[in-house]
Amino acid sequence: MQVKRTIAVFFLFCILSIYLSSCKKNTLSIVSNTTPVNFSLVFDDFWNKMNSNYLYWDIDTTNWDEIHVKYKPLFEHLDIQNKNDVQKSVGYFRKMTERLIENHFTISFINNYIKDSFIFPSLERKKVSQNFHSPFSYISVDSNYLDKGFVVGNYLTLSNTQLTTVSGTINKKILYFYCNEFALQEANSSNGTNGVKSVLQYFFNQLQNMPSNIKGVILDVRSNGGGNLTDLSYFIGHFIDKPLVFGSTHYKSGNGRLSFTPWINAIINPLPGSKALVVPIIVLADSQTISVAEAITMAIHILPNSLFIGENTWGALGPITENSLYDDGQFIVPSFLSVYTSSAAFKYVDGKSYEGLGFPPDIAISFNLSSLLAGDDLQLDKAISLIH
Amino acid sequence: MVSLKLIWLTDVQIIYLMYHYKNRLFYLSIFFLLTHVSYSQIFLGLQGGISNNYLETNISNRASTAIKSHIGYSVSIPIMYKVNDWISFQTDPNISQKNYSINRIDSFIGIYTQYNNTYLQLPLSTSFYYGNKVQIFATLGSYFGYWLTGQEKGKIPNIFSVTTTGNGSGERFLLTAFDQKYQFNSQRDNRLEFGWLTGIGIQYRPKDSYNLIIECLYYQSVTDNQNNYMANQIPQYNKTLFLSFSLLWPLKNKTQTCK
Repeated sequence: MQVKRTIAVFFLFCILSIYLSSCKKNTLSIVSNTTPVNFSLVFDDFWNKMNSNYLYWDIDTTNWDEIHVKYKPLFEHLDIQNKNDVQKSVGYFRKMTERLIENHFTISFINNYIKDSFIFPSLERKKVSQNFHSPFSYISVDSNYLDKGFVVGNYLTLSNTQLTTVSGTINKKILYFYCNEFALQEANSSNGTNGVKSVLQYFFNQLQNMPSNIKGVILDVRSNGGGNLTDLSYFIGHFIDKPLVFGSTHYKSGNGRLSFTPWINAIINPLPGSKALVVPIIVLADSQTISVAEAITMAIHILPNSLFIGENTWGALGPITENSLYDDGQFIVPSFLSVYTSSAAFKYVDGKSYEGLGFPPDIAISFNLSSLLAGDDLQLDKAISLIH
Repeated sequence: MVSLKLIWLTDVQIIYLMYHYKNRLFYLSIFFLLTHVSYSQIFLGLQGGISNNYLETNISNRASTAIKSHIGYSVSIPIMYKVNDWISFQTDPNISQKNYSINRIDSFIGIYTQYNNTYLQLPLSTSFYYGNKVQIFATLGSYFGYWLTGQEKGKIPNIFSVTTTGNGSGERFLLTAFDQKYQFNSQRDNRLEFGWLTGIGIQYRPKDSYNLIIECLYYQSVTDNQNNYMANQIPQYNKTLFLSFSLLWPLKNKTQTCK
């Protein structure tokens, strides 16, 4: 009798186990890597990848679920074979992303009908602001401030952009360095000779063996669009003799919109043999100082006797690398579009995120085109006046 | 001690009821079990053991990434109400770890985040015994849990440490280690857990004064450990295997004739 009863109970067990396990939702992936064949799938792939890859959902005010509710039906009515519909979709993507706070964020399109379209929400927002100005080549004015014998170097980067660097002295008492983008290490380690190597050799040699007449350093990263992240350690590593904690970063840690790793210190290590800067340093940056150039401005700002003069920087502070390293950041919707977005979110050493806001100067001096055209750089003037 | 009106059902009748009243299966089974009473005894004890937890979710979209189960501990104070020789009800309020890690694999090996999560759990279960002095038993029940604390540790490439490799063609990142308390996010984290459990064990009663139990229990959460805070959410469930050793003493002994 007991054996029969036990068999019955085990049977009951099985039934109950099946019943209870059916309470769970399924855990199927909602992110696909296949080419979407209709607009509904294009939307799903874009929405889901943004949902899991974008780094700022904890502070962004865009309601991504509302975007889903509003735009999913609109995309479902589009025909991916119809040129007009494909072009119409660009407008939808533009509206969906217009309020994202990340200032690196761009969408470029792979689909042949819309290859020339480009979405850059932060640029579109800035263009309509009062103080907007385009990048300006300050060096065309500032070369007149430099003492004779200054060095200029150019290098064609692997991204096919022209890197220009300038270094020299001003009034025999200020060491000056300018670059229009950051590919310094790339230029320095490239095969053959290039002018940038000479400029870097001159500038770093002056830093390490500071002549007694030099009373300060001016670092000019105005209208510097950023560049290689490797330059942060390479460049700032020459100014310090111990590790510099200048903020913290976190990354995505799962598919959840709010799944992040803990914040970890952002550290720049000194280069072998480097010495701490012993004279004041002033960094010049403007509203077209972007990405790595902003990070360098912020890192310099921590050094003793440092000052930042100019304008609020662009506000694109999340560093970017290949998607595979963190499984977050930039992604593609196969055969349709490509999204450029941060791999990490960055908080400055003061605990604040300046993403979308830009880093504010200690002394604000606005861009003044008429003065510059007249050969007078008001921001540089101020910096020179503060170094005695 | 048990005051239910007693009904004797044959096993055929039980299966008939199970077939026709599927949606009332749970209530029927409780009723059935309560009516098979011959005597009762309450035990109190101590239990300790290890847990091995796995996070069930879908990360197939994440390149070179795998979820790995991890060992933790479990301690509890089991309370068992032994209805008769072959059935008991028990609860064992416990503090248990449900640990797992998300590891990068292939060329990213060395990058990982390990989550050591501690839960307070209250299981309610029934066990069915077979044997005399040495009994084997099977257990089925459900549990409630509360996610008390968490610890995150791991290694991650520090993006700002990037340098170029010797020939300038690649990038090298330094791994940064972290080990810190998990920061709960009320929007994201669902700290309440509910699930079912099942298991098997061996009970040894050398004397009437105490019981020795070795038990293997499987806990399956049916609640997502995230709140339902976004569309297209991929749920995450804890699946935990416990291996424990218990020592129980009778508190009260009472015999009843019921059949």
